[in-house]
Amino acid sequence: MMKKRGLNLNNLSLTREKRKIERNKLAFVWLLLVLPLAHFAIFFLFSNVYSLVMSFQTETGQFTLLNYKHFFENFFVKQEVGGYVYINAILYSFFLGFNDVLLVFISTILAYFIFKKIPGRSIFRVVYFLPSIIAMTIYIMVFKYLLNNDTGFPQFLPDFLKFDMFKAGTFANKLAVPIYCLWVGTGYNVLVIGGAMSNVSPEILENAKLEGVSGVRELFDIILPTIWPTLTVSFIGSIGVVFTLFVQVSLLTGGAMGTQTIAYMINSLVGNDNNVAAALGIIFTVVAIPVILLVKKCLDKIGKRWGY
Amino acid sequence: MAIFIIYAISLVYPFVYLLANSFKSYSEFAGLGDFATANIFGFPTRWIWDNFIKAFNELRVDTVKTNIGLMYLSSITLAIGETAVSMAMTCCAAYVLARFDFKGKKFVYNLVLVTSFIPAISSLPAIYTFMDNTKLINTYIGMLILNAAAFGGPFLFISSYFKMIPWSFAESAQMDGAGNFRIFTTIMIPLAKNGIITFTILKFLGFWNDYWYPQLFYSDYPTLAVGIAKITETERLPVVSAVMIMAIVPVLIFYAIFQKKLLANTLDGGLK
Repeated sequence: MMKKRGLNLNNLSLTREKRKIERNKLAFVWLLLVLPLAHFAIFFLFSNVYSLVMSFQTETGQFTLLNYKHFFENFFVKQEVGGYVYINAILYSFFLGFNDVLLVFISTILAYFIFKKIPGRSIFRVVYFLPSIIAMTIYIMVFKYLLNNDTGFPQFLPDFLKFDMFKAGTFANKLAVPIYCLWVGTGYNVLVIGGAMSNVSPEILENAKLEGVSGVRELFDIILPTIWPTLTVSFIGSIGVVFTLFVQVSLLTGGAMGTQTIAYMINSLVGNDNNVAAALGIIFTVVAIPVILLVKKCLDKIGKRWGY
Repeated sequence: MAIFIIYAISLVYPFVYLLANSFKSYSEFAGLGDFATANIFGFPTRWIWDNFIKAFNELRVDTVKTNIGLMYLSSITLAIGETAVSMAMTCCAAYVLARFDFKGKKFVYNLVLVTSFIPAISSLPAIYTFMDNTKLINTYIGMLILNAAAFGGPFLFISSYFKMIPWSFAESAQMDGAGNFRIFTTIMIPLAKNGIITFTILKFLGFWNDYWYPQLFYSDYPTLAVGIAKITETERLPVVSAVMIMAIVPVLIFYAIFQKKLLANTLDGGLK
């Protein structure tokens, strides 16, 4: 009887001990999570909800639909300066997004050659990573200097071939941002995609070689399916560019005629007309979410065919 | 092969261009006075330090008077503080979400993953208003709070590092009487140090080079990235080149020291 009672007491203290450990664990978990979650709640959840509220408010806090009305009324109105401002910004943003998709394609092809272990591979790796560590503002400004008629290479061109990429309102001006993005973005993407290619099993490639599989088939039938998750992330990143590209536009063209992007428009309003900026932000988020999800779904569908 | 070489040269040449021009007088650069022709691409005929001296004395960024020393100070203090705070937050969140089962874990994890697909464009006006109302604009603490986000790319990578560490290490420590906090700080963090160091370096470089947030929320104290973009409007190219060279050199030294670790941990392997 005494023994049984002793056992029960032991069990009780064990249960208490277990509970104490569990309580400590929970306290520890929430102690570590409370600040990250509070930050997420304020700077993501609350700020998005608050933006929605702001978009229906005047500067003095009264309810209004004017911020949205402003957008929809001006959507098809040609402005004296800038033409169809909203339509142009949307088209230019998507153009830059497709430019980024093109960048991923070019990088994939180039990465294949790096993967094939061309001589000097390790030097290329070090150099191609440079734009990722040097301030974007420095590369952008040097790009501007080097392609400027007065301080750059165009001065060696005959007059009829000279073009001013940084003159507002010209077609060349619209090419400044995509060319810059291709220039600095290719290297990093080549490295990331090339890194993913190193996951391809050498045995499979060896077998394919013995069976006489061509380089093109090797790339499309063996390598691309293997690196699909990396490509998916890159392509989704390209769609993100449509809605977030701002710094390059701001520093290269200053948002001159026809070179404004969605993010540039919103940014230039922040601090001056926050309520209109909030309305634009909400409108484009509503557009962005289904676009991104649709692209992700399509990419997942392709991935499923390859067993992902 | 030629395309790889040409592309590599195009990425390195800007440094040569800046270095050469940073040691030239404006007269030589533009072909004025004693110089019959402009010398834009060549090395200086007379190497001078004037542009560097000017950079240390006074530069104007919008309405703010500054110099390279103050811009350095802004960049260094911000980058160190922001990196420390955001990495601490990331490690805490990544560790508990990777290694502990608790009520609401799945919800938190999925919420973070799903919302990472939403571009940050809609929240910016509200964030600006919040920062303005709380008088956090142009304050150091405001920048730290703003950039203290725990979730995002590094969070996923670091939590996968924590997941890979065998739990038996923690169990042994528990038997020796170590509590959760001690296990986290003295066992788990050192074991995940490769990933943590890599993302600390990447975050530091990201904050060091950041232009967007400092120009919007910290414009009274221009950082190097913001200052460089702005002084191109007011200063001549040789002075701007000198400022850029001074901004690049520490990063290149940093890169030379850590490049093996950086390249190996961020690029090799891709996503599986």
